[in-house]
Amino acid sequence: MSDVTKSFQIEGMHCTSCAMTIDWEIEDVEGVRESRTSYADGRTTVIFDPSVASESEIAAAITRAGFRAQPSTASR
Amino acid sequence: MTRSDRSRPTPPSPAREVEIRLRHVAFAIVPFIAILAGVWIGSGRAAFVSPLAGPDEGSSLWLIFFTGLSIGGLSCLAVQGGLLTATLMRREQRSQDSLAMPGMGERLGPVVQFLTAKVIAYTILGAILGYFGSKIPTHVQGWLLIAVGVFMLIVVLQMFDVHPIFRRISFQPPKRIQRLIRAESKKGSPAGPAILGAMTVLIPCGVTIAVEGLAMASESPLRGALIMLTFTLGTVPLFLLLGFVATNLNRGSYRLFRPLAALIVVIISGYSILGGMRLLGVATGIGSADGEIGQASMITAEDQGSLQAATIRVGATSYAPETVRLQAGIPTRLSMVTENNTGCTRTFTIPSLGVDVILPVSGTQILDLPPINPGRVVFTCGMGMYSGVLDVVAAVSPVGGTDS
Repeated sequence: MSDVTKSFQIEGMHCTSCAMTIDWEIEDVEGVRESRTSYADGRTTVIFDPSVASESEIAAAITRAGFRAQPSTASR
Repeated sequence: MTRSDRSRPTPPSPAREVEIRLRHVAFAIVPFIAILAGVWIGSGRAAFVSPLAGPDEGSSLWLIFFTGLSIGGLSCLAVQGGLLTATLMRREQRSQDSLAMPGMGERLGPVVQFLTAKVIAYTILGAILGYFGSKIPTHVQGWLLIAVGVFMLIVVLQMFDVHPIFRRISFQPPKRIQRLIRAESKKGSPAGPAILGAMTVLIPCGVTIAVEGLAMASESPLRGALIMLTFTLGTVPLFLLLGFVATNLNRGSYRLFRPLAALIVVIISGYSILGGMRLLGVATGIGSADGEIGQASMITAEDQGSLQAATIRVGATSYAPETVRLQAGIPTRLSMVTENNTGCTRTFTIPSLGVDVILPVSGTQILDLPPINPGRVVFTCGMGMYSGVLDVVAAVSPVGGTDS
């Protein structure tokens, strides 16, 4: 199965360090290829293999990092 | 086991549960210490200041220290703490594999490695920034200080999430550097913590960038190094605590610290903006309103005709008198007297007259100034921290008052 890209709106970030923390937590989830969090946009874009990782697991990773996540737009 | 469980390194052990509770207790204590220390600053405990910074720039360095201890530490900890925790967990996992329980020394050792390397790296960076800052013209330094001050205010607005527009003014390290550092944290090699500590200079948070700006505006490698050293030392207690509890911090501690941190950052921001304005020759009205007023005396030099003379005693943290009254249209001979002075007041500048000199540690340096038009002419140290005014009045009499 090909990779999919999902975006999440993030609440609670107060600096760019938060963005890095979120990326590292998400990239620890098995099946995630890449996570790019922008503090400026308040958004995370994640590329993952849907046969291994799920949207809810990624949202859970964001919560573990200490932030609230809302699914935003989807592509591919 | 779910897929989510597989992505986590290890489930929390009972010992870890105890540590998490300890963390809550510890974080109730740290803000208390910070507030207590703030009161200490207010009461002007100079003896407490001097071992850290020397008596000259102690108060401003204290503010930088507390910036590190509060918002700097927490911002740094958000990301660097995650790195450090990853390394610690990897090492502990190995210890558990070998059936050996990690002792306190074994646990704190990597943290000390990390912090030592971090402090050294930032101090070197401060020296480099200070060196480059010394090559910048005074007026550019003035603007730099103002920019740093404004940036700090924006950081405060970001802290309280006032409006998304303020997020636009931020620096996020390139993804490649983030990955490089993350990969290092996962190796768990013996030198890993030290390498990680040194690499943190590549991922500065907002406040760190602002303090780096201050280091650059300090005009000196030594002062730049001192500023970054002080700031980084301020972040040390939280990291040591992290080493003790060996777990990630909850975000509640950030909110707990926020008002105090914001206050400290706003104060430094004010210092920075006022300092920048002084370096641009703007009379800020602070530090000269109630000060001693010195009057120039008229002298007649055989080969130069009439000129007025005034003396300024340059202390480590002050210029005396703060206001020197001069007559317009007459050249001035300014005697700058120093005695065992190693403070930043030695870098003396009168921005509007293009005067920029470094005074001797002890001695008298004569500055011959051209005739000046009536008005208030600011003089200041190279960092814009200490200042005074030449109060130039229209000449009413060829004979002046007494020497200051």
